[in-house]
Amino acid sequence: MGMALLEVRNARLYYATTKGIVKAVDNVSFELNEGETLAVVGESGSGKSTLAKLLVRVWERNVTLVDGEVYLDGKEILHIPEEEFRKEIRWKKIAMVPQASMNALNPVIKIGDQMIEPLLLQGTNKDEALKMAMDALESVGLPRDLVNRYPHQLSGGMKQRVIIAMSIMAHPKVVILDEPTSALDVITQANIMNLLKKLKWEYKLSYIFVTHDLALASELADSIAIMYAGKMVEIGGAEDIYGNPSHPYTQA
Amino acid sequence: MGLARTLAVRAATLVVLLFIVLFVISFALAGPASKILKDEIMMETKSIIRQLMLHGHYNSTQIQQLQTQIVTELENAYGLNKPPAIRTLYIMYNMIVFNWGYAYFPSEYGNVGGGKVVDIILSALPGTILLDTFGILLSAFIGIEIGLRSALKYGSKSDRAVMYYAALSNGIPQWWLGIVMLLVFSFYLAQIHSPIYFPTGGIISPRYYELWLTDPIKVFAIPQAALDLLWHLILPLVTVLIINIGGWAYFARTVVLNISQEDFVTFAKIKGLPEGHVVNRYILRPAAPSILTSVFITIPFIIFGGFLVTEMVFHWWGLGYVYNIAIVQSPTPDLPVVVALTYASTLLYIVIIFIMEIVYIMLDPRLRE
Amino acid sequence: MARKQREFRILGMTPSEIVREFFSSGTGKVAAALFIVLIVVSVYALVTLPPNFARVWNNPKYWQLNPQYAPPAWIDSIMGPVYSPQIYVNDYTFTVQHQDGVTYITVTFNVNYEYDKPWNEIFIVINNPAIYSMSQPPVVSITIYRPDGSKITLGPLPINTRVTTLGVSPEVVSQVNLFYSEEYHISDVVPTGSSATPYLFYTVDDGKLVPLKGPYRFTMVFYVFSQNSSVINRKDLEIVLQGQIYGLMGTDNEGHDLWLGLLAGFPIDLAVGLLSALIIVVIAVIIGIVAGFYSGLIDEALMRLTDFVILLPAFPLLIVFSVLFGWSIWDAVIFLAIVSWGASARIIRAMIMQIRNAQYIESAVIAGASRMWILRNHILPQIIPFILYLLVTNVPGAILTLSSINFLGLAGSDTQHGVHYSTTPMSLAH
Ligand SMILES: Nc1ncnc2c1ncn2[C@@H]1O[C@H](COP(=O)(O)OP(=O)(O)OP(=O)(O)O)[C@@H](O)[C@H]1O
Ligand SMILES: [Mg+2]
Repeated sequence: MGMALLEVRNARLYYATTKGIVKAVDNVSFELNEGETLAVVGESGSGKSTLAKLLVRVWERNVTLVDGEVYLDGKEILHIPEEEFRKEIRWKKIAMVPQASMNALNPVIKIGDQMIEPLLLQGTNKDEALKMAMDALESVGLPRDLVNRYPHQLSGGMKQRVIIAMSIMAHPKVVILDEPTSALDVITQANIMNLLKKLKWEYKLSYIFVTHDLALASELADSIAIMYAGKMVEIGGAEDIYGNPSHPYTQA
Repeated sequence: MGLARTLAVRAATLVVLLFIVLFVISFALAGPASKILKDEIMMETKSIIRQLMLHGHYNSTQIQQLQTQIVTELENAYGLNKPPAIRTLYIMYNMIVFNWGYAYFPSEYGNVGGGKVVDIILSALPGTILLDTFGILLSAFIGIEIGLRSALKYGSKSDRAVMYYAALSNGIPQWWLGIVMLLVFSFYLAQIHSPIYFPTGGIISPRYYELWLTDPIKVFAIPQAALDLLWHLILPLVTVLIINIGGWAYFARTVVLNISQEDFVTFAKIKGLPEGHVVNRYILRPAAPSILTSVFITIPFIIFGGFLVTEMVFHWWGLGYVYNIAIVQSPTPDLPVVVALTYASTLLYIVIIFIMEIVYIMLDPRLRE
Repeated sequence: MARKQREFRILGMTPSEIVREFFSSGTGKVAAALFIVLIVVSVYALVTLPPNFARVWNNPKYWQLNPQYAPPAWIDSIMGPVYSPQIYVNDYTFTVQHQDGVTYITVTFNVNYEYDKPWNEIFIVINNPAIYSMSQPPVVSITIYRPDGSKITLGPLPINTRVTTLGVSPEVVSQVNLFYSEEYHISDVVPTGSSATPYLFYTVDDGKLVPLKGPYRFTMVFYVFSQNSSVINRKDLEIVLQGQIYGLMGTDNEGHDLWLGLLAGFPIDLAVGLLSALIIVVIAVIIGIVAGFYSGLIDEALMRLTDFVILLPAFPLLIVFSVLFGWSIWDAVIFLAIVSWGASARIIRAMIMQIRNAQYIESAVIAGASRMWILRNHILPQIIPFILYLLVTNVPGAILTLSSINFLGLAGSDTQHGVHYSTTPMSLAH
């Protein structure tokens, strides 16, 4: 068994609230190999998004405890300095499409400028970056001239696709997709799923795909993890879980 | 184009507003307040007659005749012989063409005494612009900077200190602080023979006063005079800053706190953008339109509630001080000056608002079409 | 987490969040605390000040014994004993003798002078018109025994007014000048036009006037040319040494005790603030509710009006109207309130629209709920906290504006309730 691309061991993330501690992620462990997709399924509030936030180390102010280990290519990344994580890992190696990603665009900056920002900061020249942005837009099925538009001129689905295009532009190793199709109609949803599959082959991407929808998950995933109340209660091959569920949530 | 149309509609609204204000003032002057005008005509007539008596010999009937003649002439000049409706229009017309009449300003205020109202107001305008623009811009700049830092250090000691300062400065009247500043940094410092103490007011030293009133631009060409002007500016400016920075800081902090909870800010962090970049492009930039909205709602309050009165405290030759002189220093209110000032400041206010709206539209792409 | 519902927000906060945020923030606490202080002090002022305080304030006689432009008394405790304080002499001996148809009343008292700046003046007040209006008025002569053993004799001075001002009588001035020229060979120490009183407390050292500190003994003998022994009563007599500092806040040009003025200003301020806040809130609530409830033309018209009011340059208009129509403070406050409700009305309207469009209200409407029912059960409970917030935040604002109006010299500040607002920098309190 070779070394996993991403390995999470005993990860915990707790929130402090007025009503006490919320154990949003509690002792979660899993592995993800290169080119593989892990679907994370679970009911609302089970801690899926929190797990995603933990992996990119962007979380709210009221977090009281972050613990465990996360290895990327064998290197621990949960406890390295923030600035190092930001420069080396975030977005370059682990990108993320957040939940409700249609709100993730800055309303006063043009789409193109938002897309090329990380590249410019890395020193890519502007024309080249813009060309890459247009290519990325095209690969998610959007017109190239979208770069000159503002977010409010786009539909919700278009915005979600823009975010997906952004996330693959950086050529990361892992892309975390937090319910990327939740607000879309069935046809667009199918389009995006096909797109994700295509990108996966093209760039050898690894996905962590967060969703409510088991059927959708099994379409893309090599393995499926079930979360319940902050814990990963079941993890296994996609066929196993979809065909032979053992946890009550999966059965429902 | 849609944008041009939006702007045209806003401009039209503002012009209508200006007209309504103008109409209300003119109507008040023409109708209910014409008695004051008559009183003032009588006063003016009496002073003219007194002048005439000093220089020539007239008997009482001649004087009587002269008096009625002057009164009717003046009444005609003010349009008092016409019906109120016509008079209203007449006053409106004169206002619009900047024909604002003559002031009976006390002569101790330099060469503007007894001059044209337009000249007086023009001479006061640079002072107001200097103190107000400087004051508003600088306090907004510093305040927003402080509020931003405060929000980024949410809940810390310095954050709380800023909030208490904001609450306090919000409650202190600007004029009161002005008096305290004068007492401490001018009066007391002079009393204890401190080598440095600030002037007790005024916009510039007397020897440059004349120059400032006639040609303010030239003052900036003479280094000593410009320094002298700045020296006089320090106390009023500091007063204005102390009072206004708090409000800006509080406001900026609220805006920043709220915007930093937006999804796009989180996403900017997920994208690995450095903190300074996130603050500038993802917090401050989207906050700019709402900060601006608040600016243009509060500007009249800042100007009229604070600066005008501060000008008075420091005898700063600006619109507010002129207002005050016109209201209380003369035996009866100097109507032409008061009315013209009101019109002029409304005009100024509307121009400022219009500029703000343009900037606002430029800043927020959602409003551009 | 449940999906966020699209709701009305200002700067990303719902109005109820603003309210909560406000009252839990430092600013809100300070504002609420000041509001309470304002109420408490107002009640205190109403209870302790005489009911006709306005008239008292405008009666110069009442304040004539006070120093003018005096700094507050507490500066001595900071700078050491420098300025003499105001002293009302109470423990004096009072003896009465009759002889040959004349009544001799001897009054003696001690004061300890330990300051750098002596008393401005000494007043002898007789609170009995029968005495100072006698055809042959009483006279008083005064002997001062100074700490260095010297003594100055002043008088006799006629007592023919209620208040006898010792130092300004030409006789006293010449007697003091005489004392200095005999003792120290300096002539004309008292500048013309000044009171001689301070010079009672000086000595000459090295050719210069310096304060002579130590105990002083005053003996005043009143000669009353009448046999009636009850003609001057102890209770009729007041002796006041006018200090150079006064009270908690000092005095103004007329000797008004500014602390009392400040105190008297509180209830008026509170009334003005409350009145203005009430007008603003009432108009805003009515317009907001009506516009929020009736969509369509009414809403459209009311919103145009609101926009207009928000843009109106209230302050210049206020200035011109107060000058033209001679407005009082109350007129000005009402005017300002009437043109200041715009922003609040807009917020209330938006709140109501949001509540009205909520799911549970729509289902209630379908189930046949009346407008009044919705208003009472769903809308009012939600906007009342906001109304409270508006009230608390508007009161100080109104008072601040009021202080500016006063300061500009607008709106009959000297007649309203008789209290000079310009000398009562009230709004300090906010
Ligand atoms: N900032 C926070 N403070 C306190 N509790 C939080 C915070 N964010 C999330 N939670 C709580 O943590 C738990 C997990 O939340 P999370 O958003 O990860 O759920 P989720 O599985 O993504 O749900 P959904 O499918 O609805 O997106 C929930 O109980 C939620 O209420
Ligand atoms: Mg989630």
